[in-house]
Amino acid sequence: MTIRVVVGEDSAVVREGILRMLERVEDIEVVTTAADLPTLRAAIGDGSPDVVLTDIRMPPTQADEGISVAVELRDSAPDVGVVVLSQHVEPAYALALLEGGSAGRAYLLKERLRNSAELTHAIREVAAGRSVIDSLVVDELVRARSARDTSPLRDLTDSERAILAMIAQGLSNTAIADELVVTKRAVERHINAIFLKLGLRDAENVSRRVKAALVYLAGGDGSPAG
Amino acid sequence: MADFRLRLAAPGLIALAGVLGAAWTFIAVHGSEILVQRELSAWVRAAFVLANVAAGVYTWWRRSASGFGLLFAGTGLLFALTSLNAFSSPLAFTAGRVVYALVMFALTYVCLSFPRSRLGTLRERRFVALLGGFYVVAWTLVLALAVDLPPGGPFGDCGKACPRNALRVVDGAAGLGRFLGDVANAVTVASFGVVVVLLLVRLGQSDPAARRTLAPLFVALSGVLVSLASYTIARQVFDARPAPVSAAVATTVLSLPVAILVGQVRGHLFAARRLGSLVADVSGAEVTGPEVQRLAGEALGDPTLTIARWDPVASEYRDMQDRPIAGDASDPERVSLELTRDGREYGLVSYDAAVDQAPGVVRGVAAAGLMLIENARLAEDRGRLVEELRASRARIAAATHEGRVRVEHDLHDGVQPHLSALLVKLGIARDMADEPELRSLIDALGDDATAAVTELRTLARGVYPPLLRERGLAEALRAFALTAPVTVRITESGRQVVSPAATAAVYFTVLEAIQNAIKHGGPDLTIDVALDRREQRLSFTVADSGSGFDRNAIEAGVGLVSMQDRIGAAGGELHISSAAGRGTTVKGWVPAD
Repeated sequence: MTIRVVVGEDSAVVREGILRMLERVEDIEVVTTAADLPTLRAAIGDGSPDVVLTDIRMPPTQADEGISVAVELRDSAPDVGVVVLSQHVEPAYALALLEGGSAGRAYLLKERLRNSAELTHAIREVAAGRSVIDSLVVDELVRARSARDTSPLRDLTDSERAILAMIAQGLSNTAIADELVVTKRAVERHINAIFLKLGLRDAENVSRRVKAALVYLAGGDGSPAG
Repeated sequence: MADFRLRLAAPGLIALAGVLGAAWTFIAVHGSEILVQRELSAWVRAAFVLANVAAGVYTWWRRSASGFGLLFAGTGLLFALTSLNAFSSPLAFTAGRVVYALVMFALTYVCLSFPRSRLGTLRERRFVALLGGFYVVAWTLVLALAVDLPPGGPFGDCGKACPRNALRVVDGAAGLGRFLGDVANAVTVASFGVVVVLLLVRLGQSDPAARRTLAPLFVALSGVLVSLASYTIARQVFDARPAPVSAAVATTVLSLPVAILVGQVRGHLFAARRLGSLVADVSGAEVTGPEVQRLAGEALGDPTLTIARWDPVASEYRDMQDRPIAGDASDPERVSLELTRDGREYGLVSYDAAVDQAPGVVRGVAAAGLMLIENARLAEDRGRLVEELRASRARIAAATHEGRVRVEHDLHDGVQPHLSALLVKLGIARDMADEPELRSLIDALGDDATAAVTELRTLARGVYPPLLRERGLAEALRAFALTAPVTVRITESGRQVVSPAATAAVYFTVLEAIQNAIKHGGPDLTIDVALDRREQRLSFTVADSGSGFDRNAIEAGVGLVSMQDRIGAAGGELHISSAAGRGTTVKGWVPAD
């Protein structure tokens, strides 16, 4: 099953580069490209893609057009996945992307362009309705939250903390198990424990728990820090 | 000081002459062989000499510019000369009687010219000229023809013992001479009547200041007229000398110098009151040069009063319309007074010499006026300076902000795409590379490029964070708070929108305040940031629970000063309060513009 992709990127060189990179991938087909928001919308309307890969910033406002598209598509085309390429490491942007729900959404830093595997992984994950949050974003959050004496994250063991980070990145239980070299069952147990300790829900739903974890880490659960 | 003594000399001499004249009058009249009522006459006449000279000398002393003082004192001295009519020698008697007539004429002149030394209107001048001419003619005839001279008032009354006219040249016309003498006396009385009428007319036409000065004289002279007329009628028609009438003449005539003094005092008081109301009037209204000059002129009763101020830049005097004035100190009708402060000239006031005001009073009014104008000018200058300063600060703040925006834009949109392009090409190259060595080299290149991207990101964020621009102050502060090692609470309220430049100023200031708190606050620190947007302002408070610091002990480091400057340049205010052990609070606001 080929994944049809529409690419939104205003820099010609980068756009060309992404095209060339994705050319070599068998199951991904770039349907069309766009260099600004109106063109991107039109391209999505015409091309009916499975995934939209877009820069966060584009003409006209050069602010967060990518996120606007993602939010719009929630209503107009809920089955379409969006991968946002961003230079901002602030979790606020990632959270804005997950505004209407985290299913089929990925937030990647531009650095990921250096590795086609990361890019294609994100495309495939959102095509399947899952989420990917750049580890850099999550790491920064975890680090910050853990640094505070009063942080409940201190109640977690190191591996629990690492698992929480991976959850926030959107990894599936299998992926986590592979990463940590443990059984899938062990991972499930850990995750339940973590979520219990932190008072979170949706431990089983991989995409929903991304947002939950991220929101928790960013402090949106009512505890101090925002 | 020498000037002072010189100023003292002439009036002093006149005063001395007056005293001597009064003494001589007293002696001569008291010891007269021919005068009736010697004792009373001696007192009254000596008192009149003294009173007139005293009033004249006082006026001369207070207002040396006007010649009135000398004139009036002269009248008194002249009256001393009439004591010649106390002697039995026909020549002395005749001379004294003629001087008496002269004094009567002089008094009409004095009353009409008060407070000046000259007559004001053509009508007055004509009248006095006519009167003078009449007297000359009449008295020439009287002296030529008459055997008995006409009576010289109640205190020059020689009864049946009057000496003969010593200057008679024509015989046989004694009756005519007598008749002419009576006419001359009648005319004297009538002339006082005319003066009273003329004074009344002048009172009606005068401004309030002049009216206050003239009124007492008018009243006194009216009294003199009535009493003198009564005496003349009684004496010449009925040949009676009623004592009450004589007393009335004495009182009213002596009230003349008193009226002169009272009039002057009233005029000064009026000017003093007007000076006070001048300041009060102007304090409420818009202070302009011409307006102040007008009010000063009103206060002093001289609409022609002009005030000029010394312009140090142009090195000349300028009038109230800021035109250079010509120095015309030569005009005898006007008085020019300099205003000096610490020995330096700063003003010039010029007024009609006839104005009955002491120079000190005029200076006071003019100085007050100039001070008011100067104050208004200073306030205007200060207002302009403050406005310029505010505008300049706003420009600096705007330029600084624009600079930030541009740098961030150039960094992100100018440099970033190149790095992204580099990264994606490295990605492609990595895919094409088969050898592991090549792959790891490309990975290493990727690491370098990523490091550059990270650096760029950090730099751009420090210059102008994207969150601040795109998602607002609170979001940007929360993002910063996330990475802080201590708990930072951000709350915001209100809706007032504030310019990006001002918002950025607040952002960086709050950031610095938080960083300071973390640096110096000690352990167990919590920081609360409150943002409030209302009443045309964005207010912020950064309060920490730390150990605080003694504001007096620590000199403002670079950090504290730049926070103040940043907020000040945005047009707002910043206050820092801290006490050891109680934490620090940084409070401030910027205006919505």
